[in-house]
Amino acid sequence: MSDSEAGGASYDVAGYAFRIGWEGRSGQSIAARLFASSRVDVVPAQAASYGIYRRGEALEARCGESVIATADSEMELAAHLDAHIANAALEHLTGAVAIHAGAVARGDRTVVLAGTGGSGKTTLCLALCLAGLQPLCDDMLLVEEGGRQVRALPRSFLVKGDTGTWLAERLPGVRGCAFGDGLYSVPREALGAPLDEAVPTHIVFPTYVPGAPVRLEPLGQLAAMERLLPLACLPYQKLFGVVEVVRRAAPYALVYGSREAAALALQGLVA
Amino acid sequence: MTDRDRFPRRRRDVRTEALEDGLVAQSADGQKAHLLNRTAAFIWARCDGTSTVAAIAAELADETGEEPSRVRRDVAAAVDDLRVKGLVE
Repeated sequence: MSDSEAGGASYDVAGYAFRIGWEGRSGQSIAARLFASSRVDVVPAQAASYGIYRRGEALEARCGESVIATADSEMELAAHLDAHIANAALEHLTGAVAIHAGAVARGDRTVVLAGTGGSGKTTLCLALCLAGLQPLCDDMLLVEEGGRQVRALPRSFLVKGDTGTWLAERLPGVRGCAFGDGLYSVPREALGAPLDEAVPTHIVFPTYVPGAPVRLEPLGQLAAMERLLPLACLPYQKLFGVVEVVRRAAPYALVYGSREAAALALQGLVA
Repeated sequence: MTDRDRFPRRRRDVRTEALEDGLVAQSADGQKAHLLNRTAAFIWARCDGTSTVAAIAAELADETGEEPSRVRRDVAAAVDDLRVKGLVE
């Protein structure tokens, strides 16, 4: 395909239906890498409409007529578009609360990994998927009203830095998901049979401390709430769904300096 | 009337959920969540409008076996804090 060719596709992310149109290879590549597993044949006429265009050396993303991001690289634009569509999907959902968390499952056990950027949510989710657990998501988890169940926004994992290189060494097929050196957009299907919903049984708050030995310790519910509240995108009227997760899932604090050691400790929770 | 003779009352429009080791209370305007530890939750539960701060302190001192005058000071401070948070009136 030449860079001037136009195209488009339709997607549905957790009930948020939209079309993405593009001019050229970069737009197609970004749309496919982000939302491959959410592609649908038909979307409602009133679905949101996005566009990805090349503007000289830069890339531009639009929602309708509004420019939502410009960037110098596919990866950078993908990150902006991903965040925009995730937020739009969250606004579209009623009754759910989003928390900064990843989740993986084995059988009837589901581990939620809740933390800020840099705590290792994506890295630990990947390490656990390599150990055979099923992926839900790596960054944004929806707590359904009442807190009994969590839902994934079915998006690709965005993997950056040395974690991308580390993953590609262990899962060679992932090299095809590269945006650039060490940057990957990994479809959930590449990591195992993805799940969209689960009942959380454990909620873990990871802290990465270089060189630290792994320490996985139970947390009280109050301490868990203290850690979880800043990670929740709350309208506070939905607060009690988050409380219910802490009451139903056993909370743990994890300090780790090695992803392999941490993954091993976490596997003990779902054994 | 001194602080210890006051009758603090839980605001009825505050929504709460119990935890094993405390309580989550949502402010009346729904804009803020407050986390109360076991002791604060004990005091909150007894702010019924009929118990004085002194009576709540006596009950807590009985429960914990701690020195009553210190418990009275702590309970008075805790009730003030609950008032500042908009959880009692």
